[in-house]
Amino acid sequence: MGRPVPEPAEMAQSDLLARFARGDMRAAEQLTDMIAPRLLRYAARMLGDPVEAEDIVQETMLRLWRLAPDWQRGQAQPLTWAFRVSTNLCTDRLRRRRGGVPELPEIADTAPGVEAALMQRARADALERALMALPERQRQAVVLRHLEGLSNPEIAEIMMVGVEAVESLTARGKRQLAALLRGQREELGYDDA
Amino acid sequence: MRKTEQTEPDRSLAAARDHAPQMPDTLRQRILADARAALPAADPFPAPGARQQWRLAWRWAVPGLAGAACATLAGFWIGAAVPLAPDAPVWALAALDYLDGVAQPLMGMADPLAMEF
Repeated sequence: MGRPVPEPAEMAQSDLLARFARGDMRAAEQLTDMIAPRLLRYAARMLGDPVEAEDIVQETMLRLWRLAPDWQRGQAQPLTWAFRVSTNLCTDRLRRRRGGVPELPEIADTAPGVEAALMQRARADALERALMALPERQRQAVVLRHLEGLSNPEIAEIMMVGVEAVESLTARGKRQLAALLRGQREELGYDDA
Repeated sequence: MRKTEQTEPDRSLAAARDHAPQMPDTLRQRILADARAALPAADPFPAPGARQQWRLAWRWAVPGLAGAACATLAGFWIGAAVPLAPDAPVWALAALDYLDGVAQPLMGMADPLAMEF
């Protein structure tokens, strides 16, 4: 199965940020297109709320723009930095709302018309629900690794833990996902596995 | 069972990737508006460039240095060269005699320092 591969243009993100700091709005557009959609997917899965996720993305990008003139070449990639900021902002929001019942994210409808598409959609929804049931750190690791396609060292940098801890969190998260999805095997069409 | 444990999350993860939330255009516009607002404003008093700095130095620092050099040379000449001139004591005594000639009729004495206030 194909895991999403990090965009090769990530290598140029620092250059784009430097260009933006010199007043190049085209560079800001390119950075936005590279980073913001991934942050949105991540934040929506962490929070289970697309509106809050948009706030997180906007706040993260604003911090990136403000930091641009002082950005040090050779430090973390802007994408990694942005994921770390989003992680912290999501954690703050989750702490604030602790005790409340998380809402499930609204997922954009991509024209389902056939049974297979509906099944895929049902699987995606089930996964979103299962993700929300995972402990926060496991959810972060699983989303970053398996949905955003980041490498373990990148995730370690974002979560500020060691690579071994990331591997452990990802493995435990995936095991728990399997356990959570096991009860829905038939309705999700997994009975053929 | 083990096979199922490995397969179910992978298939669900693949489905979730296919149904990821899309980025709304309004959010993109908001982000870019923030970027425009965060752009560093043009400095009304920009720092001079290297060429301009050299021009300023040529206009102010070089004449200043030349003036300082001239003052140093003049000071050296007055302090060291003039007293060595052979006619300096004669010139100084003549000046004092002239002062005495002016002061005596006015003050009634040749040496004003002998007034004994």
